Amino acid sequence: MADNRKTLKILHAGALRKPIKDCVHQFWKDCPDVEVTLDYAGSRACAHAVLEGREVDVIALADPHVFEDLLVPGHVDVFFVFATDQMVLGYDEFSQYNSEITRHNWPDILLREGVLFGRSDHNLDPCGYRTLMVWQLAEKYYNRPGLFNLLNGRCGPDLIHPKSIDLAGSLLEGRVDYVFIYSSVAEQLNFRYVRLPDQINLSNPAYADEYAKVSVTVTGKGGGVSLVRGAPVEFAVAVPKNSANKELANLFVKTLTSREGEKILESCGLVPC
Amino acid sequence: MNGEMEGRAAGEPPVMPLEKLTQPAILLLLAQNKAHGYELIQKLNQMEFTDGDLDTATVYRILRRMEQEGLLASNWEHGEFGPARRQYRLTGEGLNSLDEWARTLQARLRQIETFLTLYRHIKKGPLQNGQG
Repeated sequence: MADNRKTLKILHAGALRKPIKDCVHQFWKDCPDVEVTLDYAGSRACAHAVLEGREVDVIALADPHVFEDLLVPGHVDVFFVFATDQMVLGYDEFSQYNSEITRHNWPDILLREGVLFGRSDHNLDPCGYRTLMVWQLAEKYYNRPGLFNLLNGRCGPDLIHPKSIDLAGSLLEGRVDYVFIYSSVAEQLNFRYVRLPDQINLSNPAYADEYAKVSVTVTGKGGGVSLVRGAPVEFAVAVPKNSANKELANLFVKTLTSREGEKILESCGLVPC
Repeated sequence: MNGEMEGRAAGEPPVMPLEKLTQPAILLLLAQNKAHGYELIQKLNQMEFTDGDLDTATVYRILRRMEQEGLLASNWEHGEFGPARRQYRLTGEGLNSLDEWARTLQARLRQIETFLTLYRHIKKGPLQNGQG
């Protein structure tokens, strides 16, 4: 017998794994017969997959800029900014010098001999270029000329991961002492974390002008480069033009942005907006 | 919560609870123009009576609570292309609440003036740092 069940294909940023899964369960309360497939990657990698012809019904990314830079207007008309977050420095009880680290001394702790810290790849994942922005902002905020180069020099290729969620894995496995991740990911994984000052953690729209003074050059799959300016951390979702199930896809977006969806986002450490 | 005095060392000046004035400030801003949360946070931080950084998460939480209480309404606002953001506007109930806040703050202003008049009398002159 033929299976007439419809399938909703969702492609999302790795950092949104838990909230998207939880929202699918909420979605199934209204649409129990819909099959849902989930796949994830770094946000820029997700956008490149769509650019290369991959058909998905919903795409949820960790930076609205990725939509603007790569997908609008060719593949997406409108994208919905649904949550915010902030960059933090995650660690656990086995991280070296964890009892000493604070929002004031973290650069010195990271630069101590033998301390390992990781970030995600700025060419694939917004968390990666946001980390580089945090380091640039920290150089100014703490008045430490050369701090960016020192931190960048200590975080070699073996400490750079494709997605922020992989980075979290490297802390779980004890391969690094500290990781630059989103507060929501730290909360979901029960990591301890240093909350960085608003002036550098990319959380507060009041500092948007200051954040915009730093930038990172990212290289795309085809070798093209884009300049990404600093901005408050935001997450956005869209229904691509080539979605085969637009009605269901819009229903999922509605679930994500509903009161119930907001409760789910909050329970995952995100800030619905 | 009356936690604004907790954890204050002797000799430190008291801290006014910023969040308490956030709601009337949001009502005041939205009485002028509808706006999305991002924009409201920027404007709230520019207002002089919130002298300190407001926590972004707290402002979004207050906006959601005010909407649930019927003081605000929201819809997704977007152009032909580009980002859609939840935009807030004041309801009739919100406008009434703004009037209530203005009356309450006016009464509080009289109490503060009475306090400062008595204080100056005790100190026999203007405040040392030139305030008031």
